[in-house]
Amino acid sequence: MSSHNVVVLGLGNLLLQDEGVGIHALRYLQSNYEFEPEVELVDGGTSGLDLLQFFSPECKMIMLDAMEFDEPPGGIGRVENENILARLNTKTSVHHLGLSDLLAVAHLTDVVPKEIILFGVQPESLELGVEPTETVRKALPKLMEHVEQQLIEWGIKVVRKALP
Amino acid sequence: MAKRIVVDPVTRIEGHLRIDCEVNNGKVSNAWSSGQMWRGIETILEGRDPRDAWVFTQRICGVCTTVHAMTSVRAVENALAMEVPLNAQYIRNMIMAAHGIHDHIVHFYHLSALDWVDIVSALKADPKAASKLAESLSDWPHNGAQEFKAVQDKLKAFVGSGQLGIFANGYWGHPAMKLSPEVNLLAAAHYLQAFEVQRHANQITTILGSKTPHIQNLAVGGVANPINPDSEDALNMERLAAIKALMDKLEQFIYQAYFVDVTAVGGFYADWTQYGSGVMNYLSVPDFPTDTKGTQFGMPGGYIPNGDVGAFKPINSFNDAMFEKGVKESIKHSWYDGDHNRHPYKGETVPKYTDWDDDGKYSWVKSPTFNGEPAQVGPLANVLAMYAAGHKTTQKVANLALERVSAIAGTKVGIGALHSTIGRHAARCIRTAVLYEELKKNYDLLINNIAGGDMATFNPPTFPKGEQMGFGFHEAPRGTLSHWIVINNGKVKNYQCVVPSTWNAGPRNDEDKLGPYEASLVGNPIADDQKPLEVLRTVHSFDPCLACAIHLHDNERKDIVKVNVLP
Repeated sequence: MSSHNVVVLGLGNLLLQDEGVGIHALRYLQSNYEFEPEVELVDGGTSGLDLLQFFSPECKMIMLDAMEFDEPPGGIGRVENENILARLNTKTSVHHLGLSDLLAVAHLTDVVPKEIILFGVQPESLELGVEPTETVRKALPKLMEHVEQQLIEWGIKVVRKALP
Repeated sequence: MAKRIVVDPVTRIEGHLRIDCEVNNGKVSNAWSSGQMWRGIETILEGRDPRDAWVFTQRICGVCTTVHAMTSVRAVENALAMEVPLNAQYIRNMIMAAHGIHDHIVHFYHLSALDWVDIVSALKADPKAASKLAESLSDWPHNGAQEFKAVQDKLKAFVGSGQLGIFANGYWGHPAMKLSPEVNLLAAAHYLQAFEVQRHANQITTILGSKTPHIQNLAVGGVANPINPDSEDALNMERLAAIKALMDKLEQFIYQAYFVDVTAVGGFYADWTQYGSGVMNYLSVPDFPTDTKGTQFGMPGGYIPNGDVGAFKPINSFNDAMFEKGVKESIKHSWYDGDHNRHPYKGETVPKYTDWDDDGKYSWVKSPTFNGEPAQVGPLANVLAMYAAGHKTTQKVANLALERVSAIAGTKVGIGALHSTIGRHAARCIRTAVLYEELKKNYDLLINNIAGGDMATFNPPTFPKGEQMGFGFHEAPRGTLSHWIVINNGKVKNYQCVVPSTWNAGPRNDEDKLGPYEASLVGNPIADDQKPLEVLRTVHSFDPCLACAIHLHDNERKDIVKVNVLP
């Protein structure tokens, strides 16, 4: 269970260009911002159930991920709480308790955060590569503004680190 | 007349695994296993510093992060003929044991139990009767009638709301579901409790690995954990004590819940010892090294041809020549360019998709062979090897498990019953107990070694000019994992991962012999071809995890999802 009141969870596969945008965004946040009180920044990768440890009914959560929602590449979308798929599609699967499964388990075990906001970025390329595309990289500062705004709304003081 | 059943996807989110079965008179007569996604991640490593390879390989998969990290550093250490300090071996061993325990518990309860346990039937159970039954089987303290009633109420609320969540699309009421409502309720209660228990195993990994899900403490040549019993920032006595407390909680659940539940399910479904054997060549590798060179191991491994335990050939060290020479991968039935059967040092990953062809290419998974034959990997292979090698803990736990299954089934069930669908679950549980004992042993070894004044955790690697080749292996939760590296002038020239699910999910090989999933399905009963529960039982028993790559958040269910597009 997270001891922090606010958790930011980056999700995605770092090896597939824009699929990793959630992790790239998290790292950006890590190196360019400071928070008061502290915010827990979690690099969730493509894990599922392993992330249950960061859930608690006392916390608020921001998720950062690539999202397919028919926008031009680099477009940013926001989905809230029960609108984030809180169910399984099928039980025929075994592995990759993915994000929707994770949320379903959180419901079942009573650890759903008070609020969850998913910020998704429409990817341009999911080819092999450890860097995001230029289009998606350019969307990162905009994404940060949305994250910053959300954190401020939740009473977190957000400070941009001075450039070296 | 033969009918064809296609289960696609078998895997939950990404649709990696497709299984095709031909069914004749209620039995599977032929099968095809097809990985539906290309995994060419190895190419990302070419030209990189071998010391960084593990950081990338642990991103291959969301479930097996730790195992790919571990195997990668071992491959580089092998290529450079390095030794690893004892403390580093013990710390790695504890991480591997904790990870394995976590993985096996999650697989049984959360990924496969619902193939055998009918959640909807549990709603009809009498909690008092279920509690009485549970208390007759075990001392586990969370088997009370009140606790069971609370679980039942919770399940009723879920089912009643029409939002089955994680229980959606189960084959509830299927004729192959045989447990009484009370046993179903007991299992459902432990299913919920196991969510808490898996966190404990994860916490051990977090303390030692600095972080989960991606551990941070590995290095080619050892680990990055500073050891100082008196320092707040190092691995100290306080942290070690926290690990011990978590270990005690795991011990109780493993022996009083997991072991009891698996042997009960095995006893009630004893008919499933007849199905699912398939390929009976078994490959596993020794692991949990207790010396710096990797020649002494806590858990033995090796090769068993044709299910003949007497013909067991041990694998003896991290340099084992039989293992190094024995592995090949064929692409005759896989969507890659050409038709070769090559050693991983020479492996190529050039995709060339053509349509599905029953007799030709039909999968993205390559087909590995050991000494020219397909081989099954996983806890069953490992347990059989340890049994054959005379490993005392394995023999003790396995015999105890078979006794319990025999008592419930009312008939003598011998070690041969393990060559089956239900046997793979039993073997995984036996292995969990052995892993726990190994965790405890390495904890003591670490403490004693530190007490003796040895604080070393790292030997720095040096890269000579020219070319070096090496391989690293790890007996991962899903079976034998190996990484193969060619280094040239300090940079990665070639890198190949031969993963457990490749061994098991692979298509036909260069001699057209069926892969382990395929062979294990032949002969399975199918009661209802619209609901092929039996296919899932056998495939799930291997704990499939296919090449884990894409995990894009796909909001395809537009009816319930509203996305606000932001400026």
